Amino acid sequence: MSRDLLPLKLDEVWVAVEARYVREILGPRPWVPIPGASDKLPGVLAWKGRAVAVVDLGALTGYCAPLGLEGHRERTVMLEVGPVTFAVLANAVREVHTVSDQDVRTAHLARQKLGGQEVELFQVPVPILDLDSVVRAVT
Amino acid sequence: MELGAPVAAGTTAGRGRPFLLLDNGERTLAIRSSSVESVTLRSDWTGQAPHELLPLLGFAPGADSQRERVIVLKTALGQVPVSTHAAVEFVTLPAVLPIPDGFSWGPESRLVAGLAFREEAAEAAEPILVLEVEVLAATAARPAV
Repeated sequence: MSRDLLPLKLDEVWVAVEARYVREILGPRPWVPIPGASDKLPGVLAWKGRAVAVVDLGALTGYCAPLGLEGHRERTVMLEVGPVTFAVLANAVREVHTVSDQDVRTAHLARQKLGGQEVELFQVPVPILDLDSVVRAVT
Repeated sequence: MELGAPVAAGTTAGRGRPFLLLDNGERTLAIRSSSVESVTLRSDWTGQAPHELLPLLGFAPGADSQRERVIVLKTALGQVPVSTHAAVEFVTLPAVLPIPDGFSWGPESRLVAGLAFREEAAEAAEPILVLEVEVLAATAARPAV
């Protein structure tokens, strides 16, 4: 068995998400903060005629600095996990990597936030984010 | 609408333009015109001390005193004056996109009715936050802690 992973760069750290959840990759998109929202779920942006939640993977995982009220990144990745659609902002996105299940291993403890697995991409261990856990953390 | 001139709701500027747009250069907000009683220059305002709008929303206040306006809101709680340092303009917005349900936004998110843009199909533009006036009035009426 294999899985398709999309690597996302968050500041200097790479993480990967399963490509089957990715609906679209956009350039920088303006978003607006929602009053009183948490740093994990700071605001909304518009996509395909509706408002979509922005999830800050930095604040959620601690792998990079939180976006803050005015933060932006160069790529906007639209994800759909079951009925939940949300956006994550990344500094860069690379091509989808197809990896064998044998290449996926248990993540080092320090990289187990929101997913206990990692894979080696670009000669570095890259945590695989469990998007179901991401959704549970913000809903 | 000319900056520096007091503007009353219901004037020609507001007729047929269902939103009052407040643009302080960093953030653009909108209020439904039907909830606006009047817009007055801060220097002309003689009523009760207004609530500062942006801090009510948890944002930093503006600082451009040339643009300071008092907006009197018509709400179920009566008239509520709020002040803002922003250019104001009555506009038509094509649609308001509601904030998605099901996320743990927190209670203050009810201050926001949704997102809007000045033109259709302008999703790459800076979004406008459309405010829920009744929630704003209730927040303003709450005693500060």
